[in-house]
Amino acid sequence: MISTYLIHIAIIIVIFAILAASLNLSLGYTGMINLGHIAFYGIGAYSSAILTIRHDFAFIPAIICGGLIASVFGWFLTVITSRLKGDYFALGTLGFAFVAYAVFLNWTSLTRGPLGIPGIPRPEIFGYVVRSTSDYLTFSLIVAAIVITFLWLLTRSRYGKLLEATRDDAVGLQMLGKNIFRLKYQSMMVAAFCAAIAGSLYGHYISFIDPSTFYLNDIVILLTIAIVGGLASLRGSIAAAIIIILLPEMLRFVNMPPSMIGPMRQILYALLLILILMFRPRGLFGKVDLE
Amino acid sequence: MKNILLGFAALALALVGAGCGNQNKAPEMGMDTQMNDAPEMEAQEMEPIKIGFISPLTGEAATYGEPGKNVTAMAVEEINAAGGINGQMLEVIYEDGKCNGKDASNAMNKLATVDKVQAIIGGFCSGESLAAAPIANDHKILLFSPGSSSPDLTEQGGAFFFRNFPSDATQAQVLADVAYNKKEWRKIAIIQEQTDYAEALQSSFAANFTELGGEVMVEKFPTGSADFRTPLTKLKGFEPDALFLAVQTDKPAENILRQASELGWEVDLMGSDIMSGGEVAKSSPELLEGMFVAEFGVNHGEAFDAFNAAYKAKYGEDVPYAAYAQTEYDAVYQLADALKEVGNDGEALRDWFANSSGWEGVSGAVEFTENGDRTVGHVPLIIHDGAVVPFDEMAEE
Amino acid sequence: MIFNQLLINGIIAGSIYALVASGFSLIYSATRFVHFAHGAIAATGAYFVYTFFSMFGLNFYLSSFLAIICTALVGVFFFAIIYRPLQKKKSSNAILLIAGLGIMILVENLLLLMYGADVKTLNFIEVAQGKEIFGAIITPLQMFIVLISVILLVVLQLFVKKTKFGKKMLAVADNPELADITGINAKQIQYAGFAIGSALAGVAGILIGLEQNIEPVMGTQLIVKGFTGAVIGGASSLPGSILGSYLLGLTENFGIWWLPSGYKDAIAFVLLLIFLLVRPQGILGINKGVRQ
Repeated sequence: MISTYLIHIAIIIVIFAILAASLNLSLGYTGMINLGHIAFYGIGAYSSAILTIRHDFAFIPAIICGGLIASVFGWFLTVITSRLKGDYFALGTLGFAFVAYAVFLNWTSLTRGPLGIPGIPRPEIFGYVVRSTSDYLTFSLIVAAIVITFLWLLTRSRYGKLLEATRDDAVGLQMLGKNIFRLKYQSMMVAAFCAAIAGSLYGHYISFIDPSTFYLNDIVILLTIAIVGGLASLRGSIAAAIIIILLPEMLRFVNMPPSMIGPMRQILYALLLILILMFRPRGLFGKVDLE
Repeated sequence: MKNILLGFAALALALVGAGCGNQNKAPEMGMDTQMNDAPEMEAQEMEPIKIGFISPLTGEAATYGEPGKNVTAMAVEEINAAGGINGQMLEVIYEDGKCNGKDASNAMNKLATVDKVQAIIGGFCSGESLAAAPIANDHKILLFSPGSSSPDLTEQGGAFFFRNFPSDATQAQVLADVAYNKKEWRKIAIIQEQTDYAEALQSSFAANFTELGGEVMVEKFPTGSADFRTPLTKLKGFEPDALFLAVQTDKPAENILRQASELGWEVDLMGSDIMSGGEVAKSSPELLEGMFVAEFGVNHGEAFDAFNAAYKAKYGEDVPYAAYAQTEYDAVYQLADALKEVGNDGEALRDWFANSSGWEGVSGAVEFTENGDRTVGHVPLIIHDGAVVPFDEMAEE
Repeated sequence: MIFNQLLINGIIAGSIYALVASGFSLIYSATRFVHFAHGAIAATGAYFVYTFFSMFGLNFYLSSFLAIICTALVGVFFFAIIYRPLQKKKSSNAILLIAGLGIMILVENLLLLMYGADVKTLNFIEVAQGKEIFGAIITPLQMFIVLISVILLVVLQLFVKKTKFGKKMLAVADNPELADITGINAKQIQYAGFAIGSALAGVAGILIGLEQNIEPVMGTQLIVKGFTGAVIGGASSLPGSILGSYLLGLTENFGIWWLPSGYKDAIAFVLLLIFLLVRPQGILGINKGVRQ
């Protein structure tokens, strides 16, 4: 029998795999160093939680609305950072994540601020409630399969090549009369949509969300996954999600005072991130370098 | 290279799988911290009874989690020295909930399914309990919190959640009532840390106080802030009768009070129930002098003194955050009593708690409402020389 | 009266940001990348002075001197073992930024393991009632902090404009390729930049430790405000980054006079985003390498 703990870890891995794969669309394929991706994840989680609890939305419309709201912000973020490149673009997107966090924390009439939103219902799909943990794993795997297959088909398509050309040769693409800006915001919007779906999956699984889930620590975890997995590689993101989520869980089974486990976990992430940047900047399966 | 890394991923998966799959392994790992402390017992051949523990052991809120763990370890040691649970040793598996939902539910799931415990002491933070409670209910595991005070838990806790720490709804009520009726304050400035506990306390207090006819002004700050000059300047301009520090830990309190005093602002103070037990009360008691708080009263008396003396003998200091420590200590004992009577079974334990009445502990008589909340509430107190004294005593002086 | 107090509050906050931003900006000028761990390095400065002064009981001024030296060494250490190898591999600026994020998390958690999560107080200066100036209140320590950041503004300006080293650094900041061709030793400039910048972080850590106490996570707060101030002012311009810090401090403090205080950080980042949108080179910055 597989223990529920393992299933729980598997669900978290699936959620982070979706999140990392979607980040890879904007970060890896389109070449936008987006450090604010966690904000879309948060927007998705909050939107679908609020819609299902307060506005009696069914699960599927709520998750889709969450995705749409996040896409609008994705478009907005691309517009306000359109004139930046490199590290300045990265700083701008990081700033966006901080603003989103401040809004989650302060707009108490909507998000209940630091109190968080408890009692988020389990998804109900055509009358069937995804109740048990193992059912939820199956459900998340189905969602992940849909999202990641979609991303995979997208990146394989002619459109996907255009996105990669945006990253590799923006000038050349412009000369062909393509609208680079439009490609960028479209890619960001799709990435935001998928991240929001991951956020909804998280919220409806844990049943309680608060702003602290969508802050710096998780930005670092997410970046580590995307970079360890490798840019422009969806299977890399999936493999890295497995490794990066499991690695610190193993610390639980090591003999160490519990008060050390938290910092050790963060140290592990940080070292892994630095070492991979130094010694294998393309990650596991990456096709391109981070620029 | 790719193959090596893939192999590593597979290995990682296998390792965690092994840790989970092999149930006999798990106790040995969790036991280590426990057995170092436990005295040699003749009943060693019997399987120990494992219970879980979820509390913030790292991060800002570890300020509470660490002493809580010490108190729990001490209570367990005493129980085991006195023969354990009908001869079986009690063993605690400590997990770090990091004061947030994700880590608490990780911990909860591990305890429920790897360690297969039937009862858990925790979570400490309300965010931990809110995330852990649905899982506890799913697995029919008793979740017994000695510190979560969020009013949300009354409804969201479910049938398997109990707490021997009262809801903040009562803290806010007492604060508002005494501030308005006894202190005769009409305008109160509130500086609030943006955490679940402080937010619930502030909003509940503001509702109660304005209902009585008072006025409040609220300024909030995120955890980790160090510069409070402008919020304080704003609050000072409100010309309140008192300044209310609704804070999660006393870390920001020193900066707030020092900056208020630098601004030349002398105002009566009131605070959340964590103020009297923290570092500031020890290091700079003059800052807190005369502060009005409503604590879930430390039940000063023989039982508490004996507990405090035992703590001091073991850890070399008075027990910090005594209001929490007494409930943490009681939680272990009450759970031990339940285990003795009905055995290690989540549903039986739930029934035992639901029907319990008149259980006496260090924190006084423990009674639960039908929602699993503790009935008795907070009492008004004044901080004097870094310690709390009864409110009326100070008023008479 | 209120206006004056807000002005003073903004100037104090701005001076604190400027302490961090000046070192950050110096390093940015010398190396052309965002050293995101600069705040964490400042936090090590605060912990060094805590170690020497409160734990070993050394004289405060000696402790401060030692702490500044140690902090500079820590900064150079990270440059030598992480940033420099990355640069040699021709890693992009974004990689260096992410590596900096990693170093920040690493240092913070090491501090947490070594010193625990609780707040440390230096207790060197007694709590003092502030002095009243034009109806606004400021303490001697705060005046000292403001003074130091103004001195930094002047000294750094002179350093960059008048000394040979400063001019070289400016040349590197202005056009790294050209500087390389003209035989300026970029490696030497970078090491020196890191040493001086990290020493400034040490000064910042000590003063901020006195003013706001010390805890492991302080580095994040410091860098987040420090880089915002620096980018607003123009990251490659030292005086610009100090001015940017003051603008940030004032905007925040006047901003939360109108908005709830909880939005303070949001105000800072919105200001950052506005600057990135309309004037990404900052108030005094140069335009190279920023825009497309």
